[in-house]
Amino acid sequence: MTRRLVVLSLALGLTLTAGAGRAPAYWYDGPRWSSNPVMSLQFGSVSNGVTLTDGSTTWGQPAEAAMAIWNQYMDRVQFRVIRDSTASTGLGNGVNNAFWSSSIYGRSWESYAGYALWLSSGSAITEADVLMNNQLSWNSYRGNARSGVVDFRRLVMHEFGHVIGLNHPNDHGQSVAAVMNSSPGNTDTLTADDISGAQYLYSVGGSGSVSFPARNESLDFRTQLETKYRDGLRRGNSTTYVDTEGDIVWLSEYFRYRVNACSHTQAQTRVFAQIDNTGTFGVCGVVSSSSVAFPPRNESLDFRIALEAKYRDELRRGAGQTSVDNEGDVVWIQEYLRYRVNGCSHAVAIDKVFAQIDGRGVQAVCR
Amino acid sequence: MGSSAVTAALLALLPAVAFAQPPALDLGTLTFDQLAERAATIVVSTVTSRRSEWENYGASRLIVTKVTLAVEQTLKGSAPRTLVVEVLGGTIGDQTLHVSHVPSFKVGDRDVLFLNGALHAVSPVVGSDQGRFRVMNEAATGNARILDAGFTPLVSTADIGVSAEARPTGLVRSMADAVSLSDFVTLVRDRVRALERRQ
Repeated sequence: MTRRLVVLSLALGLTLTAGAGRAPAYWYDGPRWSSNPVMSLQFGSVSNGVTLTDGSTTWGQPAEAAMAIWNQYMDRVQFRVIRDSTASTGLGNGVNNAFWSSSIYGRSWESYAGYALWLSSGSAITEADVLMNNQLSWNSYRGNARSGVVDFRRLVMHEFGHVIGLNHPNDHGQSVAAVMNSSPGNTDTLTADDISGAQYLYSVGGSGSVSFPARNESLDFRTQLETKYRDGLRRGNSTTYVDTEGDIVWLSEYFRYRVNACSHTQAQTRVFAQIDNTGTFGVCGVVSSSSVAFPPRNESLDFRIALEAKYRDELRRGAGQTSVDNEGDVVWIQEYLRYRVNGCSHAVAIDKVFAQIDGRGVQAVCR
Repeated sequence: MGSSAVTAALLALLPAVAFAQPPALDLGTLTFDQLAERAATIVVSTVTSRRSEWENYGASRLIVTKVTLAVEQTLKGSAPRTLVVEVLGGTIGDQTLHVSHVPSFKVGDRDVLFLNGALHAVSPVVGSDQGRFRVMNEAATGNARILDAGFTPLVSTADIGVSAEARPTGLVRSMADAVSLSDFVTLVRDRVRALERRQ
């Protein structure tokens, strides 16, 4: 069902100045709403007149609060609510029911406190129901998760994230703090990654874009590629003025611009401006939800050659040695990134690239 | 139905009162021991086919997918050589039912599966999706390795049940770091035997 990964709206400067870390890495299944999802809340009052820890007197209050938080980051659609709905519950009835239940439409629960079920037709979500387990002890509180008492707001916030089409980043080769991880744990509200996901799917400005892996992982790939060429393929050294980190950082940036709707010239101009520290740019547009298009190999190679010249002639960097020729450099970095944006973890992506280098052909992606 | 009956019916739908006893159901991430203990059957298997169909439940119209597994090894319980499991969700034509936390299987997937044995659960896998471990062959050596559901190399069974936020940052793991299938099978068998002795 999953189509591909997406993400981020990390400020470009942060991307480049941060050290080892995690890239935002939200995941969505593809379909999205074309109109406002109207949720029929059927959670009722808190039994015995108890006031929840956060002051709520009905379960609908934290549910509405969760939707309001998502709404802050969506332009094209907004959650709407029908309070205390008496609509009949059921999937396929055209109503987006949110309610307590002892089963998932007749099927037993399995570990999780809530499930979201969403129907799509083609690229459009047509209905979504949220079912919360009425056999558990619930409250609504902020802060770390407490043993034995489930926080309703963060769980329903997670399920509403499914309603808008997001899925679990940690189930798709990503490692990031997010309320949308399969278990929110101590994360009690939206993180930057969750917000990027909502913005990607529903922001008019298209602040979302395709995300690339954390720098430490990309650098690890480039280092392993060097070793592979030197020790595995027994390639000789050639001179380069671009150090390993510069190579992977700027090539990744070039590819990131390209897959986010920048032309070759736009991407190269942006990267060189970053190198010169003369500007910070956004990406060039919102990408299609169906595919991530990498540039043709000749253009990537042109960029790599231009980068070499920039380091040598403008930055006056000293000469170094590499066993990876320019073509191998751009081809395999691009392949590594292609696997990563298609759901493969760092380790699996490296494994697949090296299988290609060893002549085993293009490997399947991890979607 | 009278108003008192309606009230009673509605109350029955409400959750346990806040601050009540801890739930019997473990939430969130499950440890290796919990997975092994809860599993009715543990198999090493490959998906050979899947078929989605409509199912009516009350007023609901659901899509369920029947997944056929070729069983290589049974590590707990008993299983036929060909096993059919059912997951809620799937695609028929251009209609897709997405269900959170429920694993998606495709033909050719090779996994170690901790199956709950439930006849009519949202997922056949313990922990909904947590009891699924991917088996992938390392390209360089062909060795079968274990990865978690998110394709992250599983280095130790102690990592199972550790939430994403609790994992160390900046850690780079390779396929070669992952526990091998044969070692994982041994670990599972050992754990199952230990559980049996305890009972």
